Amino acid sequence: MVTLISSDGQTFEIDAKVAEKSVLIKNMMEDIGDEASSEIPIPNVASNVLSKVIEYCTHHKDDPSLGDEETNPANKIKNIDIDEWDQKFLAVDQEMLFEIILTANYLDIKPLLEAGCKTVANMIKGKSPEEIRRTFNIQNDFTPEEESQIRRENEWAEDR
Amino acid sequence: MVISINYLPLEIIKLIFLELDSKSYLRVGQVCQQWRELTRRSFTLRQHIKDVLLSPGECSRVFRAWEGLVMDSENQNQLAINTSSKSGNYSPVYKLSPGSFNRQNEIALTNTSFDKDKELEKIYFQLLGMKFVSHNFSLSYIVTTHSPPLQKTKLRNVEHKAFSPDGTRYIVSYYYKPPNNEKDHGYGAYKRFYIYDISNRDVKLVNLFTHICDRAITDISISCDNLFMAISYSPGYVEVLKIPSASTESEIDPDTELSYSTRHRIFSRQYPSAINYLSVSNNGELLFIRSQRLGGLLLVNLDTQEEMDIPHYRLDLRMHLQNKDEVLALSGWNETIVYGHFNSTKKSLGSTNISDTTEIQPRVLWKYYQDMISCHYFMYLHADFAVALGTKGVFLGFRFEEDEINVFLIEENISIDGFRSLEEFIEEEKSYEETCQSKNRITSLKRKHSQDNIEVRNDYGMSSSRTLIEPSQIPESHITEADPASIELRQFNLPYYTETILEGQSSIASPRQDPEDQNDQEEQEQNQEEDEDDSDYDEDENESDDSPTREVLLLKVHETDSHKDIKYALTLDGSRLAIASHDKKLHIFSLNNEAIKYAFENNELPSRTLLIDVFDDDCVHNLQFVGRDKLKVSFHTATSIVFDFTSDITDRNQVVRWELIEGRLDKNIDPGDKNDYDPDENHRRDNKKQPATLLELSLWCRSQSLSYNN
Repeated sequence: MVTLISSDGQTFEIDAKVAEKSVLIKNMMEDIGDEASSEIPIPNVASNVLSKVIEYCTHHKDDPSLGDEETNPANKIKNIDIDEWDQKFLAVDQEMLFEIILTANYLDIKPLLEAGCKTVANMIKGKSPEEIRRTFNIQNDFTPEEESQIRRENEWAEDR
Repeated sequence: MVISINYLPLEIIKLIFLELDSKSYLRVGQVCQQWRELTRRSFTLRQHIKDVLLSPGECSRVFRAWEGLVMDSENQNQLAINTSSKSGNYSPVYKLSPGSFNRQNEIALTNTSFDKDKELEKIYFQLLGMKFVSHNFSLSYIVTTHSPPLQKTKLRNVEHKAFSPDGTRYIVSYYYKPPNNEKDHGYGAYKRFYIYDISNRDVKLVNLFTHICDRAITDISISCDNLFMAISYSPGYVEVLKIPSASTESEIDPDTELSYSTRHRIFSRQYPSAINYLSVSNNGELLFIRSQRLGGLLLVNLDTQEEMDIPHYRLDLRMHLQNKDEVLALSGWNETIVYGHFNSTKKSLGSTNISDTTEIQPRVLWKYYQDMISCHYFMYLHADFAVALGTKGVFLGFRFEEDEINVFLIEENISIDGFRSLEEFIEEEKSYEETCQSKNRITSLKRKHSQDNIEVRNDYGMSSSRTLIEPSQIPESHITEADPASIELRQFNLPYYTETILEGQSSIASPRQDPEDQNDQEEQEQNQEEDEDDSDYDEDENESDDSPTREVLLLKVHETDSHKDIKYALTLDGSRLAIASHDKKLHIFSLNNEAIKYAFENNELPSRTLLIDVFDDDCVHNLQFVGRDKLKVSFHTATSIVFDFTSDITDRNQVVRWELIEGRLDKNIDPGDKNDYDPDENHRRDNKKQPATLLELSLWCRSQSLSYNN
């Protein structure tokens, strides 16, 4: 068993197999060795996010690892679908979604990171630039000159 | 702290972008500075191109070429790739504009400074242009026929059906003989006109009125403002009616009994031969008539009842009016004459607002055409049938070959300054009026002398069969004493007239000659004018040699029948074209300024294709744009389908297929990205958009079709 300590001090005791879904934790566990009840602090992750990530890792604990992309070209082929469970798991508000993505990146949980990125990509697909700005609350910081250049650049696609 | 997407590290945002399809990737680059920069970084862009835009084989070739350029640029400060000296398998490269990438093309980069990101960006746009066009369709509604109620109105027969030029109105005329009528005008004399508004899915009757004429209707034409209608009857009788204002408060009952009269008539005239074409202009100012005889191309001023003849020598010329009657094309086999052009600076160009057509214009159309016809301001094109497009000097032309019909974009160098739009004409008139007011030094003697020497010539070397332009009708603007620069301009463009002005000025003081001398002199002048005229044409030819006509083949329609026929539709502003081929495909082209520029640069113009497989044995009978964003397609089996356009980039290899299955149109996409197709969603949408409005629809309406009988 491994104990994870979140940034707000909450502890999560999880199975080593679950913890090993994170490459970062796996490496740390290897460094620590076989010490029983080892505690691993996760200072960048709040408890609410860490609990979600643990939920993900628990669900996927028996999944085969992706392996090394460089050595396995088949892994390079993009899987465009998100697992149904993952879709439901990631159906959260934007802030939580980004927190999960950040945590997945920090803890080096590739499948979760990929699923998170795909979820955000799906939120972008089919939207106009203005709709994307509205969806993610992004400010349009182009100058009028840049705007006109962008318009020119994309004119071919607007009315042909 | 609220975490937004831009709090994510760039590395993660990059991963998100690499999950996007090419359309979305293009769009995220337009969201903000940071995202734009990220989408254009060579690593991200290269990965995106590799993942989405290219197959593995193409990838290696394209990137080897690109890397080769990068290496060359690093090794040399100056890049000068000589295709002939380049060894190795690759040498494809790219004309540097979107959509122009050609797999067979050779390297053509000779930049002096090389920016690898910029070059990759150009390749990216080329690949995008190769992959996409920007037209999408969705079903708007289907209009099917049904018989109108017969009992109360004693309607017997549908006599004629027509659509308004903007496609928003549909008019049906019925005739019958009312029972117990005291004054019997004969069977079929009582006309009842139903006008429907078909601009929305909710098709409704908006006007109903009656008229009496004891002849059979052969054609109906509605003005662009939907306020006037011209009717031709058999044989050669023409009437223009002012459409009575419709009741807006309550729904019109189609069974209402109405009194019959001729009070709506504002013009009527009997012509000696059958009328092939007629059209009435905005505000009921002009009537355009094409009758089946020499001298049968007529413009009638509906205010003064004057007639103006367009000189011509062939019987197969067709009239075609565009852009709110400001452009007139006379087209026949192998030649087209176009009077006027679109003013592309007009705000209304490309506008979808139908109310644009109802704005009040000054009544200058008569003077406008009088000026152009009398002064030979026209554009001559070697095309079977041609129509003007929204870009000045660019025309759409057709050529009928042995077993195919070719559709061309034709660009002519317009050096004739008098070849102008109505708007330019109005502005010119205004400025001349102002000049006249400030310079009232012109004597009536000058004016008279100038006018006396004006003679309108037929360009085809034949005299017209009717009275042409009366001297008094020559626009006064041309006989005022304008500033020298202006005179010079006109001298160039008006060989006959300006010469007359200049000579007239010098001969004002000359004594009056006796009639014989005067006749001799006129003859001499005429000969001299003809010589000068010839030399002017030579000059024109020389000029045109400097900037020759450019053509781009848009489409080849294969047709083996002896009677060749092509259906096409243009929007009123000439900025969008739909062509139906007999394999039930609709090819949609955007002809806005940018697209035309692109076409001439790249010698091609991508189109969006729509396959309509509605009925087994049917083909498209009529095409007409409704506004700019809807296309109405009529079939012989009395069904009209209206498609909405959406402006969205789509895969150019994608063919949208519509099929009628159990009374409902189903969309299918072939063979493009199947992921975009959700049958359930389409069913839901179709059901929602298909109120199955019942309306007797015209299948023999005024059709924009061309046919050429071998």
